[in-house]
Amino acid sequence: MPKYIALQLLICTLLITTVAQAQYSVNGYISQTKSAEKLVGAYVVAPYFKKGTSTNNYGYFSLSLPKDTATLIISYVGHNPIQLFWQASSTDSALNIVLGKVITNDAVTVIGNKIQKNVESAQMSKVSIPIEQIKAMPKFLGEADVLKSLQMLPGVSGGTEGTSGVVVRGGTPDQNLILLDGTPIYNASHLFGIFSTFNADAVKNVDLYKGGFPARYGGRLSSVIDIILKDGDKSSLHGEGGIGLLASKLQLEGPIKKNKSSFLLSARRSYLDILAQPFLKATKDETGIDKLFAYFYDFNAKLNFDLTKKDKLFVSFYSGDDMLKLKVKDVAPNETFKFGTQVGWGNLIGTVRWNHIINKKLFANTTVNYTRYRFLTKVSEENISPTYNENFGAKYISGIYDVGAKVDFDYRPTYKHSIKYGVGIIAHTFTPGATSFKLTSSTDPPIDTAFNNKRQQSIEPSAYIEDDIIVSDKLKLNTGLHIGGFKAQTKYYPNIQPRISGRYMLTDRASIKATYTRMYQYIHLLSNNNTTLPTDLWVPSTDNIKPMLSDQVALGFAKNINNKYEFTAEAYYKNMIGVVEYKDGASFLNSSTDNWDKKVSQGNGKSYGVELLIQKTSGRTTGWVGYTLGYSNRTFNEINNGKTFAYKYDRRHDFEITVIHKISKRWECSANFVWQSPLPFTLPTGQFAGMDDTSPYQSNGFNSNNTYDIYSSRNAFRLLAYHRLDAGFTYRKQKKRYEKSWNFSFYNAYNRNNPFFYDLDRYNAATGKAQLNGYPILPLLPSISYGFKF
Amino acid sequence: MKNIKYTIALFLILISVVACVRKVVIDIPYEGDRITMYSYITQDSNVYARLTKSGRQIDFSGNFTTITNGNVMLLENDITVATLANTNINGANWYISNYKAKANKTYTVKAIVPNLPNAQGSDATVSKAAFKIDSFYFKPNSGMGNNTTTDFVRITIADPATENYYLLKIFKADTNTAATGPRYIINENSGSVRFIATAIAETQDPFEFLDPYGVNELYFSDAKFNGKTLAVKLDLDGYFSNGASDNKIAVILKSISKNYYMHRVSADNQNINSGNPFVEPAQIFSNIMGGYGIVATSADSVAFKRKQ
Repeated sequence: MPKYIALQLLICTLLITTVAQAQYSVNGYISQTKSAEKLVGAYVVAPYFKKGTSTNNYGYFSLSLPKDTATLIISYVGHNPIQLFWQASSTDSALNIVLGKVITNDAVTVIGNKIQKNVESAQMSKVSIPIEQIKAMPKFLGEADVLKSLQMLPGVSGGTEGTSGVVVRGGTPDQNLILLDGTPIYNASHLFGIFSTFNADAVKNVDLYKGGFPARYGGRLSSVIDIILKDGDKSSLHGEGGIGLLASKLQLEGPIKKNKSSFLLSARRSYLDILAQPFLKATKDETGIDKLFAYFYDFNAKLNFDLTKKDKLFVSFYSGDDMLKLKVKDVAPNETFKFGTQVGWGNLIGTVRWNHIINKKLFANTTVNYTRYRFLTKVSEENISPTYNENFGAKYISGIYDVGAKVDFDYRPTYKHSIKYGVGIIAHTFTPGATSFKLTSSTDPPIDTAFNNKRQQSIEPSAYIEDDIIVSDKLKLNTGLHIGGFKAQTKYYPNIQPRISGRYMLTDRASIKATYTRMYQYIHLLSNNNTTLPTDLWVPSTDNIKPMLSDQVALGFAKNINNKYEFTAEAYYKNMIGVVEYKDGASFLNSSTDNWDKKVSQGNGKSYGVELLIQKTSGRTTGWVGYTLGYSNRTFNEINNGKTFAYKYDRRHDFEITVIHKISKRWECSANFVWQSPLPFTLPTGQFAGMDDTSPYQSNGFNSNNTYDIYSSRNAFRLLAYHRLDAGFTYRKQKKRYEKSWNFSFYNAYNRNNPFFYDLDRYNAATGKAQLNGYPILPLLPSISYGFKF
Repeated sequence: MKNIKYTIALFLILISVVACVRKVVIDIPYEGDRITMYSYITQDSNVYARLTKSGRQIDFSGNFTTITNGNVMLLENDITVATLANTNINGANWYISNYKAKANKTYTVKAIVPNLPNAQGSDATVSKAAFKIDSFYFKPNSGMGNNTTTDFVRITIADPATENYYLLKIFKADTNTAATGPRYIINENSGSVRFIATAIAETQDPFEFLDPYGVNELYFSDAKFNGKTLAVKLDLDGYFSNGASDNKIAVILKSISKNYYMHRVSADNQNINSGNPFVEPAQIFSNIMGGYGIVATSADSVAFKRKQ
C-alpha cells in the first residue's frame, strides 16, 4: 500500500508542478554538417535566461523559454559551437541546426558556453565515450572494440583475460542490458568472448549507466549499455573500410533520396578459415579434414526516412554469427567414413522506429523490435560400406526470442520540467535446450527422437514516467517510476521500481549528487564459467525461480577544473536479492532438462565501493584516469554451507589510465594501462579420508580409499594481480579522393603473463608441493591494420 | 617517412620474437595436518568413531594415516559418558563404546591426539521416521537391463511438521530362518537395489536425480512436503528381477540429522564432479571444530513386503 500512495503523490506532484506558465518553446534537431547525422547529447543553451537542454537519442531537443526571442548557443564535443538568434513564430516547424565538425589538432573547447554535463546533470553513474575516442584507443588484433573500451572505466571490469565481457559494480555479465538502437542483444561476443559484436565504424554513440538508472530503463540489475548506430549520410555517398589481421570490414552510407532519406550498410567478417585453406589442402591426406569453416561476421543495415517535417522513420537490422564447422572424410577401398561437427551462435535483430513531433513540447517515438539469440551444436557421422550403412546425427539448440513494442514520449512543458513517459511490452520465448538424435542403419531399427523440446513463453509489460525537475538554481531532481511485471508459468510477478536522483550545486563548477534506484530482472543466465560463453543458458523466472531485485544507492561529487578536467567521485552500495547460481554439482551438461530450475539456487549479493574518475576531454591530449575500490560477495543457503563468500569477480582495486595524444596532423598515439587486484578462486588446500559406512559391521567395512579435497571456503584463494599495457599508433593521410590510415597496435605491450585458465598440479615432484599452473594465451600481440574513408 | 615505417616494422618483429607464452606457477598454501573424524551415531546402538590424519595434496589416494593413539570421549548433553576404546575390527581401527545412544540427547565426540589440533563435533539425535510399504510389484526375470522399471514399490511417509531429512535404501529380504526374531531379515549380501523415486503428487516431488539410472541410496529433505503425507513410487532397476529367486523386499527409511544430510550430499557432489572444469568445486560440509569429517545422528525404520 505505501508504494501506491507514493505513486499517487508523485503523479500529483508532477501535475501540480507542470501547470503551464506563459512559455515559448524552441525545438528541433541538431545534426552534423555534410552527413546530417543526428547528434546525441548536443547542447542548446540560452545564456541570458540561464536555461539549457540537450538532444535525446534521436538528436531532438525542446527548450521552453520565458520570452519569444533568445540567443541560443549550440555545442557538441569536437565541433565548433554556433550562436543563433531565435524568434518565436506562429508555426510549429522544428529547427534543423547543423554543426560543422572540427577536425584540427587543437580540439575545440567550448569554454564559457559549455554545459558542465558531469557537474550540472542530475544524472549520475553515467559515462559517455565518444566513438572517436573508442576508435582512437589501441586496437586488439586490428579491431576497435566498444565493450573492451568500457572495461577501462572505473566500476567496470572484464571477466576472463582478453574477453569482452562486462562486469559492472559487482554484478554478473547477464545483469547488463545491452541495447542496439533500443533493442536488447543477448550475447554481445564473438570468438567465445574475445571480440564484441559491435562494429565500431557503424556506431554513433555509446552511453553506459552503472547506476542512477532513469525510469525508462528496466529489466537488468547492474547496467545499461545504450548503443546507437549511425543513421547514414543523407547528402552524399561515403564509404569506410579496413583490413586487419583477423577481419576486414566495409561500410557504405549515402542518400536514398537526397536530404530526405539515407541508408547505411556495414559488414565485417573474419577470415582465419580462408587463410588456412592452403594449409588444409596440403595436409588433407594426413588430417582427413575435408572442409573447415571458422569465422564470425556482422552485418548492420539502417534506413532512415524523413517522412514529413514531423515524422521520421528508422529501420535497423543486425545479423551476426559465429560458426565453427568441420568436415572429415576418410575413403578406404571398401569403406567411406564421414564425420561432421558444427558449433554456431548468433544474434538477429530488427528494429523499426517512428519519431513523431506532436507539438513543440511533445515528442513521441514508437518502436517495434525483434531480437533472437540462438546457440546450435550438431554432430553427424556416416559409415558406408558394401555390407553396412549407418547414419547418425545429434543436435542441441538453445535460444531466446523476443518480440517487443513500446511507445515513448518526451514532454517539455516548461523549462523546469523534462518529462519522459511510455509503455511497452515484450513477448519472450525461451528454449533452454532441445536435443535430438537420429540414427538410420542397414542392420538396426531406426531411431528418431527429440527430447526437452520445451518452450516457455512469457509476457513482460512495463510503463514508466520520469521527470527531470529544476527545483532551484542549485537543486535539480530526476524522479521516476518504472512499473513492470513478468508472467511466468502460472505466476505473475508485478513490481514497482522507484528511481530518484538529485544534484545540488556547491559552486558554479562543483556539485554533489545522490541517487536511489530499484531494478528487477526477470531473466537469468545460467553460467558455469568465469566468462559469458555461448553455451550459457538464458532462462526465465518460473514459478520456482523468482525475478532478481536490486536496490542501489550512490553518493557522488563532481567538479569541473579549469574547464579542462572533469572529476567525479562516487560511492555506491548495491543489494541484490534472488541472484541465481547452479547448485553444487549441477552444470549446463545436466541442466538441459525440463526441471532446470531445480538445479539452481537463489541467494543474495552485496557490492559496494568507491569510484574515482578524472577525465580530460579537450586539447591535443585527452583521456582519463580511473580507480575503483570495490567489494562484492554472495550468500546462498545451499552453497558454501550458507556462509557468505567473495563473488568470482570481486576485485578489490582497479586502476586504469587511457591517454590519446595527437602528435601531429598525421600521427596520433594512444595507450591504456590497467591494474586489477587478483580475482578469487576456489582451491583445495589439502585432502582427507572419506568414510561411506557408518559402523565397522557393515559389509564393505571402512573405505579408506575415498579421498576428499579440503576447501576452506568458496573463492577463498586469490589468483595473480592482472595488469596490462596496450599501445597504438595511427597514421592518417588525406589523399585527393579519400583518406587512408595505418594503425599499429600492441596488445599487452610488455608481455605480462596474465593466465587465461588454470589447472591444479596436486603434487609437483620437483618441489614436493601442490601448485596451480596458469596458462596465458594472450602474450604481446602486435597488429597492423589499414583503413580508408571516402 | 619511410624510416619511420621501417623502424616500426623492425620493432614489431623484435617484440614478436620476445613474446612467448610461459606457464605461471602459484604455490598453494597448506593449513597443516588435522584430525579427520567420523562418527555416525544411531539411536539404540553403540557409538563408533574413526580417526585419520589429513594431508597435503597428493598425487594418489588412500594413503591417510590411521590415528591409533587418540583419546576419544563421548559426551551426552555435555557430560562425559564414555571413553571410546581403540579396537581393530575387520582389519580397520575403530574407537568403540558400548554406551548406546538415546533419544532426545545431544552427543559430542571429542578427540585429542598428540601433535594435532583437538577436534570435536556434536549432533542431536533424531526421531524415527514413520512410513509403510503400500505395495510391491515384482515379476521374476522381467528385467531387460538397466533402467527397466517394470518392478516397483509404493511407500507412504508421514512427515512430522518439523525440519526433517531422510535416507532411503532398498534391499532384497530373506525369510528369517532363526527360531526367534522378525519374520524377515535384510539380505545385505546382494547389496542395495538401484531405484528411481517419484512422488505421486508432482508438486511435492523432493527428488532430484543427476543420474538417469537412479541411485542406490537417496538423500532428501522434507522441504516440499513438510508436515504432510508423501506417497512415493520407487521404480526398481531392471537387474533386480534378473535371476531373482526370492520375492520379498526391505525398505529402510533412515531419519537423519541435517548435519548428516549436508555432509553426505556435499560429499556426493564432490565425487560426481571431480575433474569437471565446468562445475564449481563442491565444499564438503563438516561440523568438526578443528578438523574434518562429521559427527551425525540417525534412526532407522525398516519395513518388509512380500510380492503381491
